[in-house]
Amino acid sequence: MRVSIDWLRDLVSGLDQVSVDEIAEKLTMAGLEVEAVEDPGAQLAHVVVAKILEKHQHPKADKLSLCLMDAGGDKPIRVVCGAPNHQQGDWVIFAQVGAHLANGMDIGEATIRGEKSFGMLCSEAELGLSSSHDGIIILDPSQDWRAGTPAAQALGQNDIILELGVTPNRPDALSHVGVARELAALLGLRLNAPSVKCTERGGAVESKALVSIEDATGCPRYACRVIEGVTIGPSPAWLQRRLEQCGVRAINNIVDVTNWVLLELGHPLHAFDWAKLSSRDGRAQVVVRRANAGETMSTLDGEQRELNTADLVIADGQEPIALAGVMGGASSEVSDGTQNILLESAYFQPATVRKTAKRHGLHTEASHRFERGCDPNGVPKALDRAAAMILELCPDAQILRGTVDVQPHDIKAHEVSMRISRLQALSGLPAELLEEALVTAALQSIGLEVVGRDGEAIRYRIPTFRPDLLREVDLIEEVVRLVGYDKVPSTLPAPTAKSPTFIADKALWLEGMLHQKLQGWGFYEAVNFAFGPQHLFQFFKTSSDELIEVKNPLGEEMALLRPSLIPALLQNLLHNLRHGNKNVRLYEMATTFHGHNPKGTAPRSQDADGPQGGDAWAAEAPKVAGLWCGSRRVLAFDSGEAAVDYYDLKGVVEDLLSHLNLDNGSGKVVFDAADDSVAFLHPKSATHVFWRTGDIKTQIGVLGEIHPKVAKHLDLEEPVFVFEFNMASLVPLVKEVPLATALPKYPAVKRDFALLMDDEIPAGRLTQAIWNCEATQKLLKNVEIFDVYKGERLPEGKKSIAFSIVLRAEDRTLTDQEVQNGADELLKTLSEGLGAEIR
Amino acid sequence: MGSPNQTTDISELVEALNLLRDEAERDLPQASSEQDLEQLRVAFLGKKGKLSGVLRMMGKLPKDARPEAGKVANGVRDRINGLLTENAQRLEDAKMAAALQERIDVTLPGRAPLSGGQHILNQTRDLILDVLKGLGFEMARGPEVEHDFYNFEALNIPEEHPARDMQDTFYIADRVVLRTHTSPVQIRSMMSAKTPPLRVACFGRVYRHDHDVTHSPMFHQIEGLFVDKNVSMADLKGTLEIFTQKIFDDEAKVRLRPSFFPFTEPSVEVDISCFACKGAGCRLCSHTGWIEIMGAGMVDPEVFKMSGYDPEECTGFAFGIGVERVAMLRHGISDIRLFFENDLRFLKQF
Repeated sequence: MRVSIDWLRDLVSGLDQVSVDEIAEKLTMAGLEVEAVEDPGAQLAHVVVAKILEKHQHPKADKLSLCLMDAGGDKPIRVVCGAPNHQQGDWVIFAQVGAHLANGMDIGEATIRGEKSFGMLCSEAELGLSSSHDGIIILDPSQDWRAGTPAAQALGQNDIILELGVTPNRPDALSHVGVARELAALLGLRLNAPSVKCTERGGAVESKALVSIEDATGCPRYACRVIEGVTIGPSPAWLQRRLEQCGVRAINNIVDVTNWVLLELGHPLHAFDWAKLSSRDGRAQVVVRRANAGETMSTLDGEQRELNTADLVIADGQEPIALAGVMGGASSEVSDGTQNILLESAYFQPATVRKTAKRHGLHTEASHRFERGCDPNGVPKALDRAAAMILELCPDAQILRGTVDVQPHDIKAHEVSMRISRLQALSGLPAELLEEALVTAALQSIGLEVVGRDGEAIRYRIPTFRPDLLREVDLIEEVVRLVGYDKVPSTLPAPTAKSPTFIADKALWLEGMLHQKLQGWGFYEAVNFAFGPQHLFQFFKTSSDELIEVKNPLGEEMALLRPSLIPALLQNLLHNLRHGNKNVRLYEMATTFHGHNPKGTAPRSQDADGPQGGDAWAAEAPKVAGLWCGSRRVLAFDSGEAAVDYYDLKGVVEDLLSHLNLDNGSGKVVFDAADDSVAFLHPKSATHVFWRTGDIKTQIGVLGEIHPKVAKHLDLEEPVFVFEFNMASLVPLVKEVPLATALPKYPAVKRDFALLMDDEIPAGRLTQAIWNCEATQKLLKNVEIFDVYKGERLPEGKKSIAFSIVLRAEDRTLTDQEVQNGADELLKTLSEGLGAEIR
Repeated sequence: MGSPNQTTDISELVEALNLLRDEAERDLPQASSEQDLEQLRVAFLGKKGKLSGVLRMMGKLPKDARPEAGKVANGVRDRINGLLTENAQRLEDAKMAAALQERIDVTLPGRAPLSGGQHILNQTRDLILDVLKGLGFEMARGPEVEHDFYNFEALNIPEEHPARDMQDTFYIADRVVLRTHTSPVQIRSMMSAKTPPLRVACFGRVYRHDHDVTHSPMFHQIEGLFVDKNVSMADLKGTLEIFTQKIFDDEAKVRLRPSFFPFTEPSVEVDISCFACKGAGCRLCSHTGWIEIMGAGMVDPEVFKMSGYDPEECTGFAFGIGVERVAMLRHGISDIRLFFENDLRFLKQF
């Protein structure tokens, strides 16, 4: 909210002795944060009042004049001016050399068509006062001007505006009086509330207005006055200026007064053109009711609005004339011809106003305050204040006698008790700052009254403008706020009897290890949004899961929650390629989202009703994914290009998995060709990674090259290799504490073989067969394939695989004979099982 | 050579030996490699070498002359061996000297190993969590798709409360949201712990319906929750002082300002004295000397009630900090979008 320092100074005696900086500091430290201090006069430095001593025609330009100015200095100043509206002897606003104007212009010495010029005569637009370019400002000649007076002072631009960030719990601070009350309390000064006395004349208001409240919940109080004989016109300059400085556009005197009172007292008002309301027996009818289904009205912003029964409206005898507490209607708007007005001051229930404002997408000064809670007992005060001001601006008008004030139920100030002991325990403030007299004085300074005691507790009556003070803890906060948060000492919590213990969290450990290994392998961690587009996610959806839509997405590209981390990594790759980063290794660890929807029916919305949490709605899977594109290694000055391939990334994956303390006693990792079962992977190398325990295989991840269709969709030309693992399926496989294995005591023997076999037999079957060979099983420690050859020197459909085995016994040195026998048996097994023959 | 029967004069033999010595003294220093030297060794001292050839004449010497001749021959052999050793050393020295002459261009860049790195956001997260671990907080995580109850209601943010405007929300379904803060994890932690004391650090991704230079629709939060008997605002202040000083600046001053959050009361906004200008005023702190870094407060009694705790029995505090904001402040990053582009030129800077 924009708050005028001048206005505050009008409302607090002695505030003129307090600097703006101190005011700002006090407010900020009391919870009314000053987000900005605006000094409109600052842009008027070096801009002064000046008199045109002489005006001559510019010798070389018809439209320019040459003026000699008295700007308060010793000598007259020469200036070339292009405006059409100034005369010799006029008082004007003169920007001197060195001024920086609001429109961005810097004033320096200039030569214009051969004539020197030292300054500029200014228009309102150039000073940022309005958009008017109608010539330069000519000051009112009847006033007593002095050359050299700062323009800020002369133009009434020396007010300073504070931009306050008022939290939603403080509707009382959404007005100048509210802020002034706070300042008076903080500084020990006196608040001068504006006078609300108004002089009534003529007939009784009851003869001109009939108010009924049909919905007393939505509208606990409705008051109005009728003012006859107003003359609609612009407000005086002082009123307009102050409204504009507070960010409210001046419209006409009546509307401006309602806005003035809104800014001053914080209570929104509305003025209806009395003649435009339907009436009965000469009385305008005002009914506060729920809208009927299907009813419509056009609001002041020119929108036609469809209403429903949740909307509270003000209606006349026939139709809605205002959205209660949000915006008036066009049909009863005060206009140039308006003579009589009905002035409304009411209190509407916050939730009702909020619902309507939200549903209609309207956020107005009025709804902002009603939603947060206005003062129900401030209704007559605001009404009378506005009526009095209107009379001041329209002296011929008459305020009819009396006020219509409908209040189905009395609105009582409530009472709250507070224990000093609790205050002390919660705040930690020293006892000497919390003596009862001090505490009560502090609360009294913001309008609370002591009404009694409940045992130890003191009972306070809460003023109705503080709807936020409902509980003991609310009063405690007020006391601490008024004493000052800076008075709270600083202590460290005592150790607790049951101190929290650190649980070694396997998931966190696993993540840490994955980070370490992937970074070691040259992958940079990426962090991506959880959202993405349908056109990309279609490739990543699995048949059993549904993609989850965001109901109110930030556009198409963020419409769905991601089912995989890979799409975002691909988008990161594109970004990097576009920016010249050719070798890209990225990984991410994050959650993916999966709708439970095996049958393709709508998600189970009823699950969302209970407080089980979103997990009933979406399955969240913690995943890790990586992407590699470009070079296999970092290029050096003497190394050639070598593009990454499937086996590079598979090597990384194998290395990763070997460092995760997976429980090798219970199972092992296997890689199986997935063919075309993974939509985003090229069938050539698509791989399922399983954990195999006995005959049971659990999928833990996938690995492969990005499918050409996906690559084409993204305009990716180079091959891209990716992997993705579900960390939730890895965590249970992690051994709590890995045990050390003793280092071998006896030497190992290594033997190399090359076997000729059918090309169709995958290498995995060969290694599997080697591991399973009974004759060597107990001694076999490692199998390593070191060459695969296919080509001219071999028969069609055959390949040669060269591998080494490592044999070792734990309790003795193997003899040559033992090794030879083992090798013979192994080769026999491989020959019988796979038809593999030694080359 | 004379006939086998001829006797040889000793002087003739000695002269031959001396010639051989002279020859060795001339040739060996000429050797230019170890191979040369080895060939010369074989030529002079080998079985079929020159020395053996001369010594074959010994047999033709009269017996009494042989010892003397043997002496001379041994002298020559020693001399040649000496020359061999000497020249072997000479060659080795030359080789070493030559090797030491060699230079490579040390200004060429090294062959870089593959090396990656952690995202600056998660480095920052880990830094913050490390500080919290040191203060005795346990780590806790929770779902990102969250029910309205945990995200709002249990945190004292009822439907139709203006406080809901403070957090623009992404909806997945009616009453199912992308969590707008990590506070639901506090509720879940309290509910699962059932009784105090409790010290948890909740961390993770959170979502708000907002996207510009300083707002990201997804960002990261870390919250601390401390519940026990007799926890006061003074404890909150002391904890926040240590926490912020460890993260930003050991000499930072901490300032608490009243604020409003529905789930805490009293609520505070936490400022630290600007670590760039030490409070003198600079662009980073908008010339105020203070930087707003986090929100905090004493747990609201309603929140305790919603989680099944008796607010008369326990009190507690909570605080929350944005990881992006900390990283931006610490590293001088001005555009939040840089974090999510994952441009390697950015990632490699940290």
